[in-house]
Amino acid sequence: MQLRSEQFQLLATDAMADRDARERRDVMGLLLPAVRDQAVAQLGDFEGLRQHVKKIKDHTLNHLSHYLQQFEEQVVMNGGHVHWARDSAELNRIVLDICRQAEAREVGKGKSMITEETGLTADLEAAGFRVTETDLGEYIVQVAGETPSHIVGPAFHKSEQEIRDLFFEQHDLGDRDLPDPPAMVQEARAVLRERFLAADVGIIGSNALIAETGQTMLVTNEGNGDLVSTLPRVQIVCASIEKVLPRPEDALNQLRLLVSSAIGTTVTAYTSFYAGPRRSDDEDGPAAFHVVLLDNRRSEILGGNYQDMLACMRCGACLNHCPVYVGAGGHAYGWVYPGPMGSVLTPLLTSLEAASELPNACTGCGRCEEVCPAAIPLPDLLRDLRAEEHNRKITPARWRHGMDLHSRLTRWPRLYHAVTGVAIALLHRLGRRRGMFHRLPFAGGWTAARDFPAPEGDTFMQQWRRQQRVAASNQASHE
Amino acid sequence: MSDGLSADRAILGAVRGAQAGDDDAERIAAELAAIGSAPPVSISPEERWEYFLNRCKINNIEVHGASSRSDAVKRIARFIYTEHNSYRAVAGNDRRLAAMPWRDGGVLVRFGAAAPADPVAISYAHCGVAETGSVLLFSNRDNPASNNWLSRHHIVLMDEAMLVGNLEEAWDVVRRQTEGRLPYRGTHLISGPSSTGDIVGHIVTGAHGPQRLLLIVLGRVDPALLEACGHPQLPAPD
Repeated sequence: MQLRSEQFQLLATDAMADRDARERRDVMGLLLPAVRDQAVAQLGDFEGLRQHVKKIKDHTLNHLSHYLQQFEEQVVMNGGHVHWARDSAELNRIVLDICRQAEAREVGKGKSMITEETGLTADLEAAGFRVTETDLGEYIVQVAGETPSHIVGPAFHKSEQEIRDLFFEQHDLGDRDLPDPPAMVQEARAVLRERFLAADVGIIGSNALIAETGQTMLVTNEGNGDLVSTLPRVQIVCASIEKVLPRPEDALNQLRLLVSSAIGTTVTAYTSFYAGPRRSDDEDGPAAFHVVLLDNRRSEILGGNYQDMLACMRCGACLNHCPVYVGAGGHAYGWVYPGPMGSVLTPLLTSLEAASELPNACTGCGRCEEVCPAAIPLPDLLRDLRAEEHNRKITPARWRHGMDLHSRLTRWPRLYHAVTGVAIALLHRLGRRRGMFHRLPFAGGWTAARDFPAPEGDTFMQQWRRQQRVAASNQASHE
Repeated sequence: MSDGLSADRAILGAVRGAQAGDDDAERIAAELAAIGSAPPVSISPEERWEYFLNRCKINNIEVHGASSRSDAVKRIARFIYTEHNSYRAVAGNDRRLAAMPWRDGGVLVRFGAAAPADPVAISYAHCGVAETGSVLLFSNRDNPASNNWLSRHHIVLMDEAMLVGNLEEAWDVVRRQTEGRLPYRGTHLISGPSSTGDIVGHIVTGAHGPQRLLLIVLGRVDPALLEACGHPQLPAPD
C-alpha cells in the first residue's frame, strides 16, 4: 500500500468536504463509544483487567525471544511450519513460495492487518493468483478498488447505496433487486461461497499467538476466517512477532478486553484456536499449516521509548473516540493504520520524515489513552514523536523557531508573564470594538476557519493574582 | 534483504539485543507466576444458567430444553422439517451423536463432514460458557470443522451438566480433553450464528456460515427460566 501520510491535511480537507460521509462518521463516533462503554461496564473490573494484561504484555516483550522460540517449537510439534520475515517483501516472498509449491491458483484471505501492511494481495495478484478477500468489509473495498478506512470495519466509509451500486456493477444480478442490507449480504454470501470452495490456499491473520500450546487465536463474527482455515488445502497464518502471549489464559484475558473495546460485546460469534494441519483421522482441514512471523521494524521499537505501542490489540477503540479520526476519516491517514494508533505506528514502521503530519493530527484530548484496553499512553507517544520531529528538524523552520522562542520564554517565568501580558492587553485593545478577529498574523490556520475571540484584557495569571489579593484582604477585614 | 544471517537468527538476534530481559526459562517462569491472576469473573452455580441463557439471547442463540434424548431428536426433526421440508442432516462422528435415537424423530443422519449442499449440521458441545454465552467445540473426527460453518443451520447439543462459569473453566475442559496429546487442530468458542455489520452497521446473520444457531440442552433446565430469558419453548413433541 502506497504511503500517502504526508498528504494528511489535504486528504482530511477532502474527506470533510463530503457531507454524507462526514455525517456517517459522526454517527459512528457517537454509537461505537456508547456500545463500548456498555460492554466495558459489564466486564466489571476493567481497570484491574487492563493493568493485569499490561503486566503480562510487558513481561512478554521483555522476554520476547524466549516466547517466540517456545511458540515456534510448539507449532512444529503440532505439525506446522514457522517462517520468519524481516520485512514486507520477505513475508510476501514466503507466502508466494508456499502458494507456488502448493500449485495453487485461488487464494482466499481472511481479514489480516499484517498482509495489508505488506501489500500481499497486490503481490499475489501480480504473480497470477486469484485472490479474494472474504471478510465482507474487505471484499467490498477490494471490489471497489479502495483501501480499508477502519481497522475493524474496513468499509465503514461506504453508504448502503454505494455498496448496492458496487454489487450491481460487479456481480451478475440480472433483474434481481437488492432492497436492503440482508439482501446484499445474501448476494455476497453466494458469490463468496464459490470462492471459499475454490480456494487452494487460505490466509488469515491472528489476534494472538500462544507460546505454551503453539495455537493461533482468531476472533471473527462472520466465520470467513474459519472457512478459509478449513476448506483450502493449505492454511497460512500471517502475524507480527509482538502478537505472542505466554499462555491460553493470557489470550482469553486479552480476548475480553479486545472484543468489548472493538465492537461493544462480550464475545464475537467465533473465537478459534488453530494448532496445525488436519490430524490423521480428521475428515477435513488443511494438509499443511504455516505461520509467517513478521518483524518489519518491530525489533527496532522493542526496548525503546515507543515499546508500549507493541501492546496494541488493533481493537480500533482509539479511532472511534478520536475527534480527528471521526472528522477526517481513515483514508486521510494515508496508510494501513489510521487514528491515534496509526499516527504512532505509521512513523515507526515507515519513517518519521514520510509520516510527519500524523503525530500532529491530535487535539491532545486524551480520550484514546482513556479507552485503550492495552493502556498505551498514546498522547505521550504522539508528543514524543512531535518532539523528535522538532529535534530532527523535520518540522518547518518557522514553526520550529516559534517553538524554540516559546520554550526559551517559559524558562523565564517573569519575562513570559510580562510578554504575554503585553500581548493580551494589545489584543484586547485592538479587538474590544468587534469582540473578535477575522485575521491575525501567525495564526492564519486558526482564522481561516473561525474567528479568534478578543481577550478579556488580563491574562489568567493576572486575574488569579488579583483574586488572591481580594481574598487576602477580605480575610484580613474579617479578622 | 540479506545480511548473511537466516531470517530467524537475524530477527531473534535483534530482539535479544533490544529486549529488557533474558532467555532464562526458570527465571521467566517465576516472573510470570509472580504477576498473578487477572480479576476473576465469578458467576455462582446458582446464577449460572440464567446468566448463560441471557447471554445466548444477546448472541442470537436459540436455546431449547429437552428432557430426554428422544425428546431432543423429535425437536430437531420438527425444526429440520419446518425449515427445509426434509429430515436430512449431517452430524459428526461423536459417539454421543451416534447414540442418539434418530429414528424416534425420523431424522436421516449422515455421519461425517458437511458438504456445501447440507442444509443442517449437528454437533455435540463439550461445554457451555455462562460468561460469554458460548459453546465449546473441537475440530476433529468427532466434529469436522465444516459442520460448524458450511450449513445454513447449525444445531448444537449440550448436556445440562456441562455448563461452566467462565472462560478459564472452559479452558480447563480443553486441557482435560487434550491431556497427553497434541491440541486438536481447532478449538472453537461458538457464540452465535455467523453475522456481519459491515454494511452500514446493520447486523445481518448468515454472513458466510449458519444463519441460525440452535442449542438443544439435554437435561432438566427449567422451561420457565428458558421462557423468562427470551427463549420461547415449543410444546413437547408427541
